[in-house]
Amino acid sequence: MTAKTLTVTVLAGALAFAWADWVGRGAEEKTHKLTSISPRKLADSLHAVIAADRQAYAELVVQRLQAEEGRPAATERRIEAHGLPVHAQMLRAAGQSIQQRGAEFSYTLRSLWPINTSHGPQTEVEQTGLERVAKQPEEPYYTEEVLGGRSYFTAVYADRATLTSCVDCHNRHPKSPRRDFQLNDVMGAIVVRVPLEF
Amino acid sequence: MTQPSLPEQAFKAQPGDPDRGAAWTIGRESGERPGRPISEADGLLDFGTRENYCGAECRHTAGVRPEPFSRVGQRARPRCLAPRAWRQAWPWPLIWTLSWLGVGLLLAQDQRTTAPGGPGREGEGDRGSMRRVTPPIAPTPGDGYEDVTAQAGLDFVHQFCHERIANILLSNGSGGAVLDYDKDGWVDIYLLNWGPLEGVTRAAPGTRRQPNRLYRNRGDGTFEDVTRRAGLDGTGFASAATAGDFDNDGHTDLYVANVGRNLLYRNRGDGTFVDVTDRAGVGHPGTGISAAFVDADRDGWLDLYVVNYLTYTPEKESEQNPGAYPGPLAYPGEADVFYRNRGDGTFEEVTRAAGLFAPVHRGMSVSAFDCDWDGDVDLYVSNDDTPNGLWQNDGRGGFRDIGLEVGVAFNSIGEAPGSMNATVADANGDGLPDLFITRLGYGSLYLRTAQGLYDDRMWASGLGRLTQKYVAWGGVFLDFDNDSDADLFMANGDAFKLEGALSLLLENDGRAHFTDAAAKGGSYFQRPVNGRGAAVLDYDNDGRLDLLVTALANRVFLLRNRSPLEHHWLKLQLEGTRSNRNGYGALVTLTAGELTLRAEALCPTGFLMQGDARVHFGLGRHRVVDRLEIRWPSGTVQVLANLAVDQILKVREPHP
Repeated sequence: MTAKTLTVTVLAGALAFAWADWVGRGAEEKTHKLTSISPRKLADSLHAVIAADRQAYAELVVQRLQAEEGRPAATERRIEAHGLPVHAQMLRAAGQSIQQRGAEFSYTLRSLWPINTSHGPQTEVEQTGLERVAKQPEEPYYTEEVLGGRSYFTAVYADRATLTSCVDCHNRHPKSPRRDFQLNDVMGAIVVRVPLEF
Repeated sequence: MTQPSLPEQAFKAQPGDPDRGAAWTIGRESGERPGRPISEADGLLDFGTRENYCGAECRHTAGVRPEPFSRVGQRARPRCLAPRAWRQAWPWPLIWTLSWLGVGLLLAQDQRTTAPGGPGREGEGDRGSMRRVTPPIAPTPGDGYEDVTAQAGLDFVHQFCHERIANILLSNGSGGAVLDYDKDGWVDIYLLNWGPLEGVTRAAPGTRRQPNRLYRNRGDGTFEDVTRRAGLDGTGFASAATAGDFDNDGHTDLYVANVGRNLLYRNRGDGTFVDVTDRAGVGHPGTGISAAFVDADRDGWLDLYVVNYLTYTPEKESEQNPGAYPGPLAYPGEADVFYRNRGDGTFEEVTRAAGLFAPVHRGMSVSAFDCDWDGDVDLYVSNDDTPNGLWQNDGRGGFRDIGLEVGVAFNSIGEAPGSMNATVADANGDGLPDLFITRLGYGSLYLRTAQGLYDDRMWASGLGRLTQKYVAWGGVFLDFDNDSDADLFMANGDAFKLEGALSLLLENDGRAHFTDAAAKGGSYFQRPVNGRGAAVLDYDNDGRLDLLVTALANRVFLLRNRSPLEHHWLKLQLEGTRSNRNGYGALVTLTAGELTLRAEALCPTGFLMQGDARVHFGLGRHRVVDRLEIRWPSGTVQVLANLAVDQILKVREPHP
């Protein structure tokens, strides 16, 4: 190796080190940067999106169409009646579609007074969470649960009757186990699960 | 003697061992604290020549005492390995040194996890002894099940060439098949093995693959190993097997799904098998994990459905859980393969033509059954972290996935977690075939409704609570007490550690409400086992359903049912003539007094395992079967009347 090559190599190494050191120091200056997101924060964020989408669908689509046509726009038998899916169907379809895309979280609609029995509580945590948010709607219920050996962070958020159409449908439906809902009552909950292992 | 490799030496350096010592440590300031001694055996840092030293002022070596500390003699003063510029700032030398130490320790740990293939046995002194084969489990009086593995002569041990479950392929295990290969009326057992696999296992050099094993049932409660004679040693990394008479010669053949090339063995009928994979054209090289023989187009020849898992690459690492292996979604899925039997000993791959091409799924198992009892076989495919599929047959061998629309793609919490297998039976006594799905995650009990939909009753049935803490792999319906309802057995195990979990025996009240029957089951159900495959069989032909369980890195478990003989039973051994020889797909309706039972002659594949293909009915206290109707896949309907119970009835399909 010639002296020139050696010099160039040393200089290049020194420059590389100086650059790496500078970059490293730059990173050190932002120690407050997030490196991960907590399951609770993730669940809260997901719930915000889900709830906002539901609200938008209810107000901008269902309610408006109902006002224009003068009849319920959303119906359980949407195919036969050429109607829109009810909120529960919409949420379920979206949740399944997300699962098909490989999302590593899930959500579902639950109620202590379900029209469709499959929307009743399906785990102990769901039962507890539904009872809790029915009493304290402002406070989501957070916990960890194990299902089939898999650990989850589970969050239960109160789902209120925000539109008169929600109240009317549930109070009139022949399969509804409760018919005294009023506007802003808790009708059920959205349960968001974040698996803590794959 | 050759010098040990660097990582091996590094592993030997243990803190607190004065002779071997850790490689070295740094004093905080010059003269403040001496470094640890460096021994010949350490070798982690070879400091080279004196010219490379930092010098007496260098803080990096200041604390390291140059004189000898032990019998291994003096070593030269260590050279600082840090670039000169790094020595200007205080944290750098420490980081540099710790990095080297970290690398050394990681390499040491890696080397330590390299184990010879095969688990150690009790009393062995080598590294393999870190895993111990479960000793025979002594029964107590009143146990419904007894571990008879050793006394039956089943000495199979699953060859697990690693010290831990280091990747997703190592989590799955291997299974086998129950078949009567020699047509003597006693079911035999074929068990599969793994062996080394580059990029997946870490076997010591020279580790040889242990063979698959065929155990012939002598009919006296014992088995003999006839593997060599039968020519069924097998090759590769075997996952699952299915048994069926693909050439309708009256002798049951075997298909083995491997990670790598699959194998088809034709039974010659003289106690030997011949590998006909190439001629038959079914040696798919994918990540095989399950297979089933089915007559999809009802032409009388068994077709073949093969489940592939995912395309594994060793380089993948878990993003979220350092140290844990990545989940199935980290890898691309592999499409399953469907072969149509031409009837001349060869098969044609018709996956796309049959509508079964699904490339994004990570398949785990296939369960073939007639979901709508319309006379053709449908397929339920359990997938890992992707929705399950129910492929409905159009009667001509064309399929469409209706899983989502009928409610069997997801579990009751709206999730598609890792499904292992589906077991099929009428769980609530309404005559319709129901499904129970085992999962890493919330399982499902799908009860079929008259409208052709499924209602997931996992929670309402009690199964949600009973199974909550277990990762369930092989799950099978069986009527263990012959009271005419479908109970459940679940082989549970840990997906991440070589640790066991309790198996579950769950008793059905006849209306799909389950309770824990571990106390009835006995000692086996108190013993953690890292269970994987599960198969139901009646190896002693006593009408009480036995169990065969494979375990990860452990021996096999044969559990003899010795429940009190309070109830009656009837077992059917079907033989097709116009239909496929095994009679797979035949629909059977039994009437005994007020009792009506419906069952299907299944190719009974579960997770990794195929069980006893004979159709079993528990009859409770009924002493006579009034009527037995068999709808063969050919369309022939056969009716038998006034049958005695407690017998194995051979039924041959009548000619028109």
